[in-house]
Amino acid sequence: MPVESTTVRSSNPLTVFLTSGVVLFVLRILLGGLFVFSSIEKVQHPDEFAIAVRLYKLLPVGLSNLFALAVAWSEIVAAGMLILGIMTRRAAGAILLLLVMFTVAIATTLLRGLAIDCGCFSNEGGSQTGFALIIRNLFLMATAVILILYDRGLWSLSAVFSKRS
Amino acid sequence: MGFLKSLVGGLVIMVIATGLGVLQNSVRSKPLTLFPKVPKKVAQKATSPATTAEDPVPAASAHSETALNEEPGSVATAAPAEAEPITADEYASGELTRERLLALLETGTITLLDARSEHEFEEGHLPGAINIPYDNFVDYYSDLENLVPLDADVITYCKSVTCDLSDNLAQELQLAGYEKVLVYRGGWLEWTEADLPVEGTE
Repeated sequence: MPVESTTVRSSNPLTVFLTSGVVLFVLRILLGGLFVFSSIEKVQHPDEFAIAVRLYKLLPVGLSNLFALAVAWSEIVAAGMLILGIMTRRAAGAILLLLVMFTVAIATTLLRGLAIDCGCFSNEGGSQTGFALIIRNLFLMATAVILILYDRGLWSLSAVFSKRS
Repeated sequence: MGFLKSLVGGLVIMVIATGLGVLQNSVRSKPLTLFPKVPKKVAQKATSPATTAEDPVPAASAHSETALNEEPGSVATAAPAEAEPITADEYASGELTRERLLALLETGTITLLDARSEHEFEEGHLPGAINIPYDNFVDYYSDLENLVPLDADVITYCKSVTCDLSDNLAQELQLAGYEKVLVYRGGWLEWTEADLPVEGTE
């Protein structure tokens, strides 16, 4: 019965907690903040980030520079939108897509036995790719999914503008 | 809004962000080449490996005649440079044989780069070589031109003909603007099998 299942789901304390406006707001700021932090150096030095991209050996070298620019700017734009609350569900969607891509790339390095700088945060001397990074990314992906499914735009710019209009 | 719709929206955000990135890149003082050309000589692996250990004797005897300068970084010696400079053919092939490397090391006109890990480098390396581990290339990138002049004749090597660190490093150097980059494909194994002088702890 669909009605019954809806009632059961919404009375689950964890779901109630995770979907409360304040918790969603905190998750939004945390995820957005993390990605702004991770993308600043990539945006400032895309040439160095492109080297990190080439270390993965997943893309043709000719495309690595454009890809580095695309990732760095996607991260900072989506994260900024998440923090400000502009189209938060779509912004969380972009973050989720990026995270899926990163996680697949890291997983392939494990399968290929490559030990390289992951290029996750700073361009220089960051953490190496490894299983722990995949677990971390799974948590971040879960956060993005929660935001996509439940965010109602508490304390967001979108809400401010929709109220005015 | 549905989950799928959010993902599609996310993709649109990424495309627009990429456009912004490309625009911002075009007004940078040193814009990133969007589609860098990969130099062919490095992109394609050599069909025949450079001198295998077929004849180590001439090289070994050549080495006994002159002492190699041990100063890391530059192998400049006061000895007259008798070796022929790197030829156009060698540049075109992208690689160098052991005999030629030995002769060129004595002229002190080349910069030799070891692309292996710091650990392997410390255990032993070719005389005068500088260590730039390919796997940590990003760490060296910002200071690269102080370490290796942009117009230097650069030779990279790694463990043996089967390793690709030297090719990868050569490729990164070329993308960074170095034009005279060659690979000594025989690497550490071929060099030590010929009993040529080395530096290091082992």
